[in-house]
Amino acid sequence: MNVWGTRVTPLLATIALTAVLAGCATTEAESSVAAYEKGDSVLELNFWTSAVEDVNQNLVDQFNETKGAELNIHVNAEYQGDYWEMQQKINAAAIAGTLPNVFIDEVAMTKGFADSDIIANLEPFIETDKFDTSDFKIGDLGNLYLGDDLYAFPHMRSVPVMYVNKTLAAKEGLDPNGPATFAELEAYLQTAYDATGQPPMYLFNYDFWVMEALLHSYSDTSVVNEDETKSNINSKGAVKLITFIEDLESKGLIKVLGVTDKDAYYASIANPGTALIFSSVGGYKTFAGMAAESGIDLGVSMIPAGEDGKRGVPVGGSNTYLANTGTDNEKAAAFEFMKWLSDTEQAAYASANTGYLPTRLTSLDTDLMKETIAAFPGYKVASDELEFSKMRPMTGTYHEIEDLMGTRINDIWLENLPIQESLDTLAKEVDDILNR
Amino acid sequence: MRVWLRLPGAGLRIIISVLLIVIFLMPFYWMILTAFKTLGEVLRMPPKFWVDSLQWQNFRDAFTRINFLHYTRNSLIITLGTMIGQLVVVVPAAYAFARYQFKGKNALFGIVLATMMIPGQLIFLPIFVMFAKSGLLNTYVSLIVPFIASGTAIFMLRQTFMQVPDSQLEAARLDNASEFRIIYTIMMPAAVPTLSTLALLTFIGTWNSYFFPLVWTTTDAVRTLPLGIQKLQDVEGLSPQIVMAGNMMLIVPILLVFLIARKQIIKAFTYMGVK
Repeated sequence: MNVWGTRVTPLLATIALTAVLAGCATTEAESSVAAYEKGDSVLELNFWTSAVEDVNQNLVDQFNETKGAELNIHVNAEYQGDYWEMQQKINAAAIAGTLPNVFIDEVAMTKGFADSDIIANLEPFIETDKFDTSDFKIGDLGNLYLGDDLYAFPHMRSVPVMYVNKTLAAKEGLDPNGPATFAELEAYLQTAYDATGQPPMYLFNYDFWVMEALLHSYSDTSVVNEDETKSNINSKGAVKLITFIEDLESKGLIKVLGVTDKDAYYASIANPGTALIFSSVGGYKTFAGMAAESGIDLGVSMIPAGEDGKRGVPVGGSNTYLANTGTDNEKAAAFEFMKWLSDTEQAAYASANTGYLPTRLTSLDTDLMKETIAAFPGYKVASDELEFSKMRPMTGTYHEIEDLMGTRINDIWLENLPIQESLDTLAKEVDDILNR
Repeated sequence: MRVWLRLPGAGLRIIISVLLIVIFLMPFYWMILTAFKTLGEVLRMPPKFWVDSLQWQNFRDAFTRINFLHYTRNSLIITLGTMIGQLVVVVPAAYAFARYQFKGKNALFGIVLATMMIPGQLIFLPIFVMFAKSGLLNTYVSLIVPFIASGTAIFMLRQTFMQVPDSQLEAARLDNASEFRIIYTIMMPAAVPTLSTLALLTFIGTWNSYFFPLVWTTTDAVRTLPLGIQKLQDVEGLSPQIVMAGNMMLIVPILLVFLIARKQIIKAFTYMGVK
C-alpha cells in the first residue's frame, strides 16, 4: 500500500488550513490559573493520539485505573493517524470548535499551533502547580518553548542514528561500529560494495529530519537561519553535502529512493548487503527484529562526525499539547493528565516499549530502562548522541518546506541537475514560503 | 489498433496478450504472495516469487489486531446507505433532466456537471464545520449524505432515460400512470445496465474511500475498513505481510460484486457505446 500517496492530498489541505489559521495571533499567557478541583462526577477528557497507538492506549488505561480514578478524571484516547494527519485534524477541529482537550503531535509543530491559538501556554499551570520541569532536560528542549514560555510537554524523543550491519562488517573486516567520520564513509561503503556488488547504503531523503542531521554534522549548517526568515539550503555547506551524496550515488555506494519507496527503504535494513542506514532510533526495536529475521546483528552508532569532529542531530519525536478548549477546570484536569503522562515511570514505559528515548533524566535510572539499555545497547548510543542535539525549525510552514526540499533535492540526484543552480532556485522558493 | 491488426499471425498476438495479462496481474499476485509470506520471506533479497508454506496466521493477525468486524460493518452500512441514497435522489433528478422542460434547466444541469469538477479537498472543511455545528460528526449520516447526489450518476442516467421512446411515456400517461409509476415501471427497467454500473462504481468508490472517512471522523465509531487497514499498518509497524493480508480481505467484496455484476456492466457500456 502506498501510504505516502494517500497522504499527499490531505497534506495540501493541511497547508491551506495552516494558511487560513496563520492570521491568528499567539495569546499572551494568563497570569494564573486555578488548580484542578475534583468534583463528584467523573470529568471526561478527550485525548487524540498519534503514532505507536498501542503504547499510548496502554498508558491511558493505566491512568484511568490509577490516578484518573483517584482524581475523578477519565481520559478517552482516540487514535488519529500519523503526525501529519493529526496536524490536519487539529487545524480542522480548531475551526469547527471540536478540539480535544489534549493531543500528541510532532515536536516541530509547537509554534504553528501556538500561532493559531490552538494550544495553551503551560507556564500558568506550571506556576500554579509548582511543577518542576528540570527533569525534562534530555537533549535540546527548544521545540517545547516559544520565547521563555513552555508550550508543550515532551512525550517521546528520538534522534537520527546510524544503523550498522555488524554481521556484514565482521565478515568483511569492517569496523562493527561503522565509520566514525564522514571522511571514512566512502572507503567503508566501497569495501562493502566490493564484497557484495550491491548498494551498501540507502537514503530516503523525504524524511528530511535525517537531512537536517547531515547538514549539521557534515556541513555544520542548518536548513534555515536562526530567526527562520531565510533558507540556508543553497549555502556553501549545503551544496557540499548534496555534491558529496551525489558523488557516492554515482559510484553506486548510495541508493537514493523515491517518495513512493518508503517501505522499500525500511525493508532494506533486513537486506544482508546493506551496510549502513540513517534512520530514527524510534524504530530501533522494530529494525533490530527485522534484521534478526535475516540473520543480521544490527548495531547502532552515532551519525558520523564532520570536520573538526562536529556533529548535530535534530531532536524529533512527539510532544503532548494542551488544547485551548473547555472550561478552566477541564484545562486543569488535562494538565493533571499531562503531568502523569510525562512522569518518570510512564516515560520509561513508553521508551522501553518503542525505541524512542525517555523524556526524563530520572527515567534513565528506573529498573525498566536499565534492563532495556542492557538488552539494547543502542539506547545508550542514542542517549549519548543527545549531547549534539539541536532543535528543529519551528516555523508553522516547515512541513510544507520539508516536502518541497525533499522533492527538489531528490530531483537533483535522480536527474543529475546542476546542484548550485537548482539549490538557488529552491532557496528562493523556500524564502517565499518563509516570508509569505 | 492498426498496429495490432498488422501483427503477423495469431501466435504473436497471443504472446502479447499473455504478457499484458501478466503485467496487469502481477500487482495482485504480489499482494497475494506477500499476504502468505513470513516476514523473513518478505524481506529476503533477491525476492522469491513463491512461498514455502502458506502463512494463514497473517490473516488471523490482520483480523484480530484491529477490530475488523467493526470496521467492516461500518463500511457495509456506509456503502449500502450511499447506494440506496443515490437511487432515491439520482433517479428522479435524472428523469426530470431527461423528460421535463422547465426554466433554467440547462443552467441547472450545467451546475450538476460542474460539481463533477470540484475536488473533494476543497469542500471537506466547510462540510466538516457544518457537521460539527449540527452535531453530526462521527455519525453515519456524515459519511453518506454528501455522496448521494452524484453528478456523474445524474448525467449517465439522464443519457439512458433520453433513449426511452416518447410514445411509451405518452401511452403510460394516457393510462393515467403517475410519474412515480412511469419511473418505476418504464424508466428503471430500461436503465438496469446503467443502474448496475452506477451501483458498482458507487460501491467501489465508497468501499475504498479513504480521505473523507479520514478527515470527517475523530473516533472509531463510524470509521471504515480502509482506515482500519491503515491503522493496522501503523500498529504493526513494518509487517507488510499482515497489512497485505488485511488488504486482501478489503478487496474481496469488490471482486465478488464485480463478478456478480459483470454481465450488466458490459451491457451498459455496450449500450452507451453504440448510441
